[in-house]
Amino acid sequence: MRKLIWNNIARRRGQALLTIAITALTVFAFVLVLGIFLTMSQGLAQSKERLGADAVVLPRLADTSAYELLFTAQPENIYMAESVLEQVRCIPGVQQASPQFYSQTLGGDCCSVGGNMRIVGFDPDTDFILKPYFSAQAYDTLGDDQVVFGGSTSELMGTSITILDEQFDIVGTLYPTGTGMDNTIFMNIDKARQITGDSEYADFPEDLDPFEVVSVIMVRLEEGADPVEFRDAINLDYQIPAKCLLVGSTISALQNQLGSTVKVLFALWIASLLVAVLALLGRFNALAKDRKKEVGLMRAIGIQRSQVFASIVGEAEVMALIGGAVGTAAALPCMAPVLGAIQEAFNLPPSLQDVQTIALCGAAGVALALLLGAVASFYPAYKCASMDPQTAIAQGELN
Amino acid sequence: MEICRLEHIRKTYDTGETVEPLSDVSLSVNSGDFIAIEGPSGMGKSTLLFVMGTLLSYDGGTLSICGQDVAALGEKEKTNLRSKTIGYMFQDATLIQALSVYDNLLFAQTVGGRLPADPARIQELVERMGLPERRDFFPHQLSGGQRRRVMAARALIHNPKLVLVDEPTNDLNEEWSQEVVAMLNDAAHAGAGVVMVTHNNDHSQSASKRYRLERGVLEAMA
Ligand SMILES: Nc1ncnc2c1ncn2[C@@H]1O[C@H](COP(=O)(O)OP(=O)(O)O)[C@@H](O)[C@H]1O
Ligand SMILES: [Mg+2]
Repeated sequence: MRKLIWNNIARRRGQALLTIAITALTVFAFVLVLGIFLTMSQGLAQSKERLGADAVVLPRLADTSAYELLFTAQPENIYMAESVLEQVRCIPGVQQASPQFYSQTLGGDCCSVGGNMRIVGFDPDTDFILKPYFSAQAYDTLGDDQVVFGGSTSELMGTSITILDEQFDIVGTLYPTGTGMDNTIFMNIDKARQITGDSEYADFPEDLDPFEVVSVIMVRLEEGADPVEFRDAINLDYQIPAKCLLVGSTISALQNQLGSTVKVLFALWIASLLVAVLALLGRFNALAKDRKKEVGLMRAIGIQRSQVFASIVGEAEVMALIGGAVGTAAALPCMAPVLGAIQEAFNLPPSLQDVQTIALCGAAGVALALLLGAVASFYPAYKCASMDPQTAIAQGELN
Repeated sequence: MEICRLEHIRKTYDTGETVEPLSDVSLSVNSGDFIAIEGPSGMGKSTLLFVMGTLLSYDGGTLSICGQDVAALGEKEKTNLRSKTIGYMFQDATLIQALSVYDNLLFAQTVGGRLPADPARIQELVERMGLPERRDFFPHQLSGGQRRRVMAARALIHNPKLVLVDEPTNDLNEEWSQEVVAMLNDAAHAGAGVVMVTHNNDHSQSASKRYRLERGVLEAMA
């Protein structure tokens, strides 16, 4: 029976290729759209979750979008009085508030790692941003000659780097997050302030004392606290020289933008899916008709209806499987470049493609192909199998 | 031993106007019988074979095969019965297009668990039908006569108890016609009940019983 199915396909190679091509194209488009959607929405959801903060408080006059702040490693030379920290902590609903101090960004030549690295001072006692993302951590209390490296491999653990003529030991590394954290060297906030004060860091305002300011305050709200209320408490209180950006709404806006793009792509794909189903239905119908006389013969020599059904569906599924495999195999390597282009066009944060997503897309592609084959072949196969043998023999065209 | 028994079988086709090729047909086929059924074309000979082969329902009378009442059998049981007991040769050339001569015979030999594969038996029939050089050819690469000979081999490949052949000598020259008829005769001698439909009375000479189908009734000939 397996030989019969295979020979039937091979015998009508041209027709089989057409069927395979229809399936492959449909699956290709599907896997591509699905992969892009999954990767991007995953990236955004991860950012939301990984950022850990519900709100970011920054200087009222800072000319910075939340988007830049959250996703890029641009140096943001923004500073506000440290007293804001106490004011924020007094607002009801605040669970944790942790300051960060943005020092300079080091060029690629600064240290052994290459690429631009931002130096950020954080407060290990109140920090909740870095905490969940340590891939390695070899300290209890972060010393002033120790740093934590964001988004790098744990191979760097234990090595030391020189930053502005000072030697630092790398005692912690973080998992990549797809955000600005990945290009950041974290150190004690006071150490970062000292470095900034000591060096002739041009961008730091001369009239400020680094030890009296912070750049941003990351805020986590209590369960059930209304983020909008919190934001208004800061933004509407002119005693506080700061403003508040909500992380959730920033990312939600991006998610919405992505959602509508994907909806359009998906609608187009559904249209092409319908065309493909109709085309395949036509093809399998013709296949079943062609085979009428043969089916009559097979029934006469003792093949059960169920076996006739299985052989026709089997033939369809073999072609669908080949088409699905080809389509999926073609789509997977196309995903990364298309993703990159879309993210660039929409100015979205780069997202990391993980193996699981790729495997999921591959499996979904093959499953779709099998489903297509089944949907398009069930009815013709059923019709063929339930034919009266004599009718099949008498009606079937010789070929 | 009685293999197949028809009692007062009636068959009508209803396609707008009603045709009744079989009005009252009774026949008993026993082991060792080589029965020839003659008659002008359009009389219902093929219809009779389809009915006997459980491939076509009938409208009246009783049909039993190997003592089983066919009317009482479900589709699955009828399929099993066909697989185990009956060998067909249809009037139209029908071979499985996707399989070679050898594979067509192998398929028919082993289908539905009929018999274990027996290449020697296939080879024997291929040689008897003069096709050893054609055994790996596909049906579309054969002449009409060659296809007919493959069909004859296929009808006998599983040593069926009941052999139903419809115009087996179509497309065949005199020499091969005689060979096919001789092979059917051998099957009858080996214990099968063979029913052959033909419009050529020369070929029915070698049959053990001869009937004529006319106006829906089967009549024995001298
Ligand atoms: N499926 C069918 N539907 C309607 N009429 C049919 C069908 N098959 C055969 N007939 C009619 O039944 C009669 C007998 O046909 P058939 O058994 O093929 O005759 P024979 O084999 O003796 O030439 C013919 O008149 C034919 O037109
Ligand atoms: Mg006929």
